Amino acid sequence: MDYGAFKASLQQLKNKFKKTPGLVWGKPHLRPQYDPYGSDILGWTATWVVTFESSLDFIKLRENWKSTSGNFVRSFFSYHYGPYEVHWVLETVECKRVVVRVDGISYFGRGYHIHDGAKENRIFQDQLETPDLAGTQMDQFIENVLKIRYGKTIAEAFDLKLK
Amino acid sequence: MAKAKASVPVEELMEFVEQPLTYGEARRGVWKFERGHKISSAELFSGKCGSFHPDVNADVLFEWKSYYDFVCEVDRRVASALSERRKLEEVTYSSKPSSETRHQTPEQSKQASMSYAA
Repeated sequence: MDYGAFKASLQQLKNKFKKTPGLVWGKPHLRPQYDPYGSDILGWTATWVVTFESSLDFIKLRENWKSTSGNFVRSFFSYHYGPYEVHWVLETVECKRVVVRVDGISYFGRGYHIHDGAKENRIFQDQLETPDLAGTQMDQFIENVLKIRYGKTIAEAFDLKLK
Repeated sequence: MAKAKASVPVEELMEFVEQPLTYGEARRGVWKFERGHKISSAELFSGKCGSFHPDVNADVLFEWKSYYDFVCEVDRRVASALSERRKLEEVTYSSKPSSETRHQTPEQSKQASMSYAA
C-alpha cells in the first residue's frame, strides 16, 4: 500500500462506520516523510482520533509505515481506547488511562501486547493463544471497542484466550 | 409528469491534517528520546532488551520509532549513494573503449599515476 492508497483506506474505514451512531471522527493527522535528497516518500505516520457523543471516551489509532525494498509496511501501530478529560489535546496527549490498548511493537522480545484495563496490565502475545495481535487492524479495533461499550468484557470483545 | 431524480449519496470527502516530518526534526527527536530514556534506539527496537524493562509510554514509543525508522532509511540511502560515488571515482580515465575500462582501487590508481609521472 502506498501513501495515496493508505489515505483512501482511511476514507473507506470511515464509510464503513457511517451508520454507527454516536461516533465523532476527527481529521486524521498525517506526517509524510520525504527523502531530503530526492522526491521519494520513505514512510508516514498517522494519528486518528474518534470520540463518542455519549461519554468522554476516545479511540486513538496510530500507525507508522515505512519503505522496505520498494514496498511499504506497517512497522508499528498503537490502538488505544480510554477516558479523556476535556482539556486534553487528544492527538498528542500521552494516554495513561487505558481501558484497552493494542501495542504493535515487540520491544521486550515477547511479541506484541494488549493492555487489559490499565496501563500496567500487559498481556503479551507469548501468553496468548488468540488473537494474533500482529494482525489487528483499525476497523477491527473499533468494532471490538463498540462491543465493550455494548457490555462485553475485554476478553470477550477481543477473543482473548490465554495459553 | 416530471420524474423525481433518484438522489445519489455523495460520500463526504475526508479532510486530513498533513505536516511533513523533516530529517532534522526526526534526528533531534531520536537524540532526545535516547537521552531521556538512557537507551539506544537500536537496542530498544531490536527486541532484545531482555530483563531490562524501559517502560516507555506507547505514545512516546510511537514517535520514537517513526523518527528512528526515518533517520535509518535516510542514512542508509546516503551511505549507499556515497558508496556508489566512490566506485565511480575509482574508475580512472582511459583512452580505451568503455568496455575495457576497469575499476581500480585507490592504491592501484596511485601507482598508475606515479608510473605515468615517471
